Amino acid sequence: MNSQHRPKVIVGVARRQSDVVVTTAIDLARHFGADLVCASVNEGGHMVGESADGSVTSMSFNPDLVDEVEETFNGDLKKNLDRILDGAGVEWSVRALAGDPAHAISHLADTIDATMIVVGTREESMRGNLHEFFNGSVAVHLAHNQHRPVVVVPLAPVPFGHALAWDEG
Amino acid sequence: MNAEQSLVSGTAIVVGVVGNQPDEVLLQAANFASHFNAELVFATVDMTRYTVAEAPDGSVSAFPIDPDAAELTHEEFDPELASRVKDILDGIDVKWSLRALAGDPAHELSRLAERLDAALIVVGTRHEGFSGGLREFFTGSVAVHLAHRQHRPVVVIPLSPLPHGSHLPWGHS
Repeated sequence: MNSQHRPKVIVGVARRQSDVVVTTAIDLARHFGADLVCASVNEGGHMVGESADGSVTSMSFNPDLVDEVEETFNGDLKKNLDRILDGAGVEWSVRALAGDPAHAISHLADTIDATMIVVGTREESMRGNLHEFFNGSVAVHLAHNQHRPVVVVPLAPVPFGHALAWDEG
Repeated sequence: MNAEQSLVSGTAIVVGVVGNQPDEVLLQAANFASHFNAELVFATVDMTRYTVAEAPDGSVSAFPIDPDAAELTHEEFDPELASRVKDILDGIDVKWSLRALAGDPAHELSRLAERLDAALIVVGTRHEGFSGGLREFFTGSVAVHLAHRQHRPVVVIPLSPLPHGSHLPWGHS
């Protein structure tokens, strides 16, 4: 089947993220006969243009950087994906996005008509207090601001009976 | 076949079911199950009772929290909800069964998933209940608890999504 017509699974990727997010996405993509689209989001810019495959051009929020640039995928992150995805048996590609992460990923999902979006939870050290957690949680925003299924991959879960960061104070 | 008695032999996908949930959650769950060639296990959780015994297939016996009504009974799946599930799944080629659980919803769904070694847990977002504020929303959200309390992937089916740019209930006001 032409790759354009195969289903697409988007996975949100970031540096220092546990491999289990991508390996879970691989498993889902295989079961759905889908291609995997690995998306990273540069929060320091905003999208000004987009091509049909969801690649974007952006401008920095930094007023000294006035040029419109094509977002490029981080080299280390790409290397890490090569390591995990090499031989995994799924077609995959990367997209470098810009702006608010949940918004940018949801926009990409519309552009390529993705079947689902896979994201990790934030690790314990990043959870902070309740408000910070909520406002920063890409998973929570995706679950409430768009209509495609969101597969949340738990990272460093805290067992039942143990306090979560936001249970205190 | 009595759906409630069937044992899961292959891959299982656990689905949290509540009475007023849109059909979309069950249909999406069926879509995942057909791609995984998995059996769907639809589970309700009675929060007014607590589990005291559990069978190998994950069905439970429970006591009411109310001590005046202290009688151990086998949890039964709500017949009205069971017939709704049957109607929605009618004509879809996916194996499914029902479990009636008791206790804390996220904890019990997680235990069932563990027992069945489920590939995924599927839940809907809440489509009411932002009005209570951030803390209430958060502590009551089964999806959030599942995402932070256990290790299996959680498939969240968004219900009545808000457009981007509109404030989430806990946003700045």
